Amino acid sequence: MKEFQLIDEVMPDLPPADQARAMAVRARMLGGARRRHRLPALSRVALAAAAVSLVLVGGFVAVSMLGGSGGETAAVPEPAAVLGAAADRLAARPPGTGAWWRREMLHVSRDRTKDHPTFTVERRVKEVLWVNREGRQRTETGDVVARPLTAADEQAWKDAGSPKLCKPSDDCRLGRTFFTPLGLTLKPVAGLPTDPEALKAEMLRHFPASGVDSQEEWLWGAATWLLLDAESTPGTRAALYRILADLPGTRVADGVTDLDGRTGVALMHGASPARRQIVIDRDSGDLLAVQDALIPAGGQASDSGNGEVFDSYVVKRLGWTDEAPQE
Amino acid sequence: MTMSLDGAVADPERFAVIFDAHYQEIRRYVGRRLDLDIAEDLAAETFLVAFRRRDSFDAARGGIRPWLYGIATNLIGRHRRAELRRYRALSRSGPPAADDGHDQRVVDRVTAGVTVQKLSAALAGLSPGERDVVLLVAYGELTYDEVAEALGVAYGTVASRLSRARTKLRDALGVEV
Repeated sequence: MKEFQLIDEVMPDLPPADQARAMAVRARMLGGARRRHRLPALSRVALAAAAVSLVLVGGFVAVSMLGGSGGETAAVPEPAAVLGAAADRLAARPPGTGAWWRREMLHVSRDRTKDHPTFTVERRVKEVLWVNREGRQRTETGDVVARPLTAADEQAWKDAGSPKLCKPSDDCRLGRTFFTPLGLTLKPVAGLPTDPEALKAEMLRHFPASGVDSQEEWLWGAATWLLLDAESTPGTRAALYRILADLPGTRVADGVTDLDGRTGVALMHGASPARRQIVIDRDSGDLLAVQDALIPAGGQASDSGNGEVFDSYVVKRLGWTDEAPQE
Repeated sequence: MTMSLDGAVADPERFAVIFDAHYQEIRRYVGRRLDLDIAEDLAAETFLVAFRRRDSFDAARGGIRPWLYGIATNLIGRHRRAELRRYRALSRSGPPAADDGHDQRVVDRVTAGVTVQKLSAALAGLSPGERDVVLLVAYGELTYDEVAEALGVAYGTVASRLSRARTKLRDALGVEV
């Protein structure tokens, strides 16, 4: 008997890692640690305390069946021009009034685990971030709802004996990805420049010299944070789109669909196996989603395919409001 | 095997080999000490840190597993209170519904008088240093030499911590561990 075997045997074990997540971690590591991964104490407390329930709309459609527009007619504008026009309209919008800035989104994760390789499980959780004018933050996290993704997945799940979709050991919780690059102290974010060059210069003042991130990787991480988790102004957000669009490794594509079925123009970054996509409304320039898609091995950065989305932050509402979080 | 992996450490392209070989076990080690949501993040962080520090890895000083387990243990150390909370919660709760073939072994141990609840309470009673040593041996199956490498402490320190921990666990559980 090996030493302390009793501890190994008695203490609870955990479910195997899902492959998509492992691949994403691997890609992030090799890509140079461009985003920091952590679940702060605040959101864990919110997770336990908040009883925000999530109403699910049925009838999920596989994302690969959607999207992929453009190219049929000669009149289709270039994706970069679409993005530019959307950024112009966003930049023209006033910053907004109200005491609280609210970002409401759905974090969606799609896993096919080693235990159950025959079906894909989708987990959804609502996450609301409130920030007031003084920078005070509150988060509300809903209950996670898990279900087989498609009718075929549901059938495969039933064929497998309808195993529990959430194990007691993980309680179906999802880890929260934060995009805050280390050492980034861009506060107050509402005062950041709206000119792309000035904003990029301001951001790069915080670029850590010791990090292994390339400037481009780091700018992607910082920009994602400013778009998704910070009360940046419309002008700053538009400038962020332009900064990312100008980076050599970024591709702009039109007709990219988010998990809500909304189609927009997207900034894309990253090579196989995972590609980050920032999906933007063509008309308003609003952020629709930040999502990670699997690209088949050997897939080129110039691929027109969206890839299969396995992790997404689907933005529902974002901006200043007269509403306030429940105290 | 160790040689080829050593060669891979400094090479960013080949560092993927290290990840593929050890991600699951590191994730499992962290996930058995912390709640899964934190553990997933720390397992990822372990490899991000390892990748960043790959130039400082010295094969002459020890193997890759102790190196990775050391990084992971160091990260766990920043979540000591979360780990204790987890043990306290486990010590109060019923055993989790077991799956796979694990339940039979759990049942055997429970009949020997050691339950998840008792064991969790006992682990909470160890000092952080004792817990690190015990769990590196129990979950990581590291040798004493490897534990010393992982934690950056002397072999004698590992031995004395294990000895103290063994006494505490025996007193708490009523059986030899």
